[in-house]
Amino acid sequence: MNEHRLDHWQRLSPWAVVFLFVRGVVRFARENIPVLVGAGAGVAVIERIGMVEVVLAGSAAFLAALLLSLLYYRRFRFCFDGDVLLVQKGLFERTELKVSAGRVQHVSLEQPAYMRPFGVVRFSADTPGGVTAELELPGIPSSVAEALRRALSTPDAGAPETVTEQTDEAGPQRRELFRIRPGALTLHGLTSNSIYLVAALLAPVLQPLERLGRPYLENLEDAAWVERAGDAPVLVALAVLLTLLLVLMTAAVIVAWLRFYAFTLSRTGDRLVQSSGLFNRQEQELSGAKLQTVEWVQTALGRLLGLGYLVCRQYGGLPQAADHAGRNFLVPGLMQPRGGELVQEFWPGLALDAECSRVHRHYRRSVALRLVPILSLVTVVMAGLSGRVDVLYGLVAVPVLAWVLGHLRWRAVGWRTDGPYVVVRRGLLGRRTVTFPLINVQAVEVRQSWFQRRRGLATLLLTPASGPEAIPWIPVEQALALANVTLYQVEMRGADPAVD
Amino acid sequence: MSQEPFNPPVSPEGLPALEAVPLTPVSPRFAPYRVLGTMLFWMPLAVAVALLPVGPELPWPVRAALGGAVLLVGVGVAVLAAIEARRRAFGLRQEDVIYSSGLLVRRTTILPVCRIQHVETVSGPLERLFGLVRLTCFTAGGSSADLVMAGLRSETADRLRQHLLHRIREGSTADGPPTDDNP
Repeated sequence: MNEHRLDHWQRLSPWAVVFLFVRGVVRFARENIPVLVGAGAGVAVIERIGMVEVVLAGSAAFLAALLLSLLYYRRFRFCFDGDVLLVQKGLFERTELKVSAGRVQHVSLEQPAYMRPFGVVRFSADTPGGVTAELELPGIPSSVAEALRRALSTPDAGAPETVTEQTDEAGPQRRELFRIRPGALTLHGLTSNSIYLVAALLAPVLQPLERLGRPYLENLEDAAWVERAGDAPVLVALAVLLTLLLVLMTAAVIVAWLRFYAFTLSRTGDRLVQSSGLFNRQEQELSGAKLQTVEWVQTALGRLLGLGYLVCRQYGGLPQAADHAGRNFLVPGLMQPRGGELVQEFWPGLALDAECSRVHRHYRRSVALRLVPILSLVTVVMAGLSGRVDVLYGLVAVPVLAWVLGHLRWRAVGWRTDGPYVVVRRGLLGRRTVTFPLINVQAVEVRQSWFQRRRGLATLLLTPASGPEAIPWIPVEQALALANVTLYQVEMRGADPAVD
Repeated sequence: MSQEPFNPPVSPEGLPALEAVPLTPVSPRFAPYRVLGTMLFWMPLAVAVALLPVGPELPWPVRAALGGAVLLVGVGVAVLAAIEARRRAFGLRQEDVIYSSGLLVRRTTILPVCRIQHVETVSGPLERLFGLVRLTCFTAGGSSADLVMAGLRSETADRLRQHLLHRIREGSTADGPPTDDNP
């Protein structure tokens, strides 16, 4: 039986060198290749310098990356002393990190496909501190990672002196809350916003593809079917559009399968654990006490199909960041009733589908008035760029479009309190419904514009530790009453148990 | 249950009312500080527009008029900044700090003392010239939840900081707020 001691300094697994090397190469490629390929500069550089020199330079860079990975591995060591995880690392600058078990809010174990045969995982943990305050062990045996996770999850238990490959300690029972089915995963891919992300990622590749395919297209000019296609340009345009859409949809489904394959969400005591991934298996653990908000998200297509996903946000999350970014915890492919049930797992007694109060109708006018100058500017810029004066006729439609968008926005925005919780909904065609207990609020702001003061309205901003949530254009009495109740709840509760 | 929410019965009438809290204006020196700060930004801009060859060759009167227009905008902004500065105010209750700012859009921010992680006072050279200090209360919620109280006299800021640090140390034990020394 393989045995490790956590309370002594130890190194990463030797296989971590592979992980460090591959990650360095991937990062370098991601940051530099699109620039070279996208602009066609790579080909120009190779032609100017010569293929042999480029291969030699590439080999030198390869060896340098390997050497740096080895050096990094040699200088990296860690131990778990008492309830503190210590890490010493650094290539040119020595860094020592200390994280107390009680401060850890989120633990993640990641296992890329090429590390699976060696039983090595990437371990990371973060605290409610800064956005980048992450502690990482890039390549340790999975048994050590499991032991570290247990030790960090139960700080009072202290550090286990030894860790064996087979641990069967008695502890809280693990209960499965949700397991995704293949159909739901496919639908999640189709309805999630990743289709736009895929489109954005493909955009820089289109120009090089067009350049590569140009000689082939020129040869096709004389083909009979091309001439026939020229007779029905609308049909051709529709076919191209449909093909592009199908490609994007397929890519979005593939992305969903890669990321969320075999997704399971389970609970062990106060800890929520999710695992997913086809090639890159990832297991994330989140402390329930440090959970700040739970958001039910439905895209426009998702609303039609009654499908959505949950985003659990923690301390230090970025409010505008992508749903799956950083410390956010995403539960995909949920039908609406199942979403409601899971929300009750996080916030007992909260009904997700209850009716929300609409904000004042003046909000619609405010949104429309803000949109008019923006849309007018866009129209003028489009007219300028195209050089066509008739585009300016679009200015007539601007107020109508602004009003329609304002109306859709107003219909989407709503709020309500439900016992100790507050629910805030927003969107345009889709819906995002944020739920959180009032006691999670860090700061309260009552905001009144000149127009709102005249109408007796206000915008209330409640800020949990994951970012501000606004309830716009409600009667000032309601805003003040909710602010007073929130402050009462927070102040009677006292210091934040999650960070103290 | 992941988190047990605090949910005692509450009578809305019995709650401490935010709107009833008397707020204390910030230092009267904050208005001239804002005017000077704004003009220090706009005056060099006006001079640059008047003297530097921007765009096609323009006769001197036109350049001077352009510079004057920029200066006029600067003066307007400075006047608005001074009016806004005079409307800034703060308040301190047993359990929270209140800060009000803004002219067209009024913002009243309330930060519970129990949420403050640490307190910092900062003053730039221009602020030191006017004896002013900025007091920042940091929370665990990141920059969006932090409270920056600008325009405090240094003595007020120091006493406020001491009071808040004491409250953070002591938790929610009773402690009288410091009296403000604004005239």
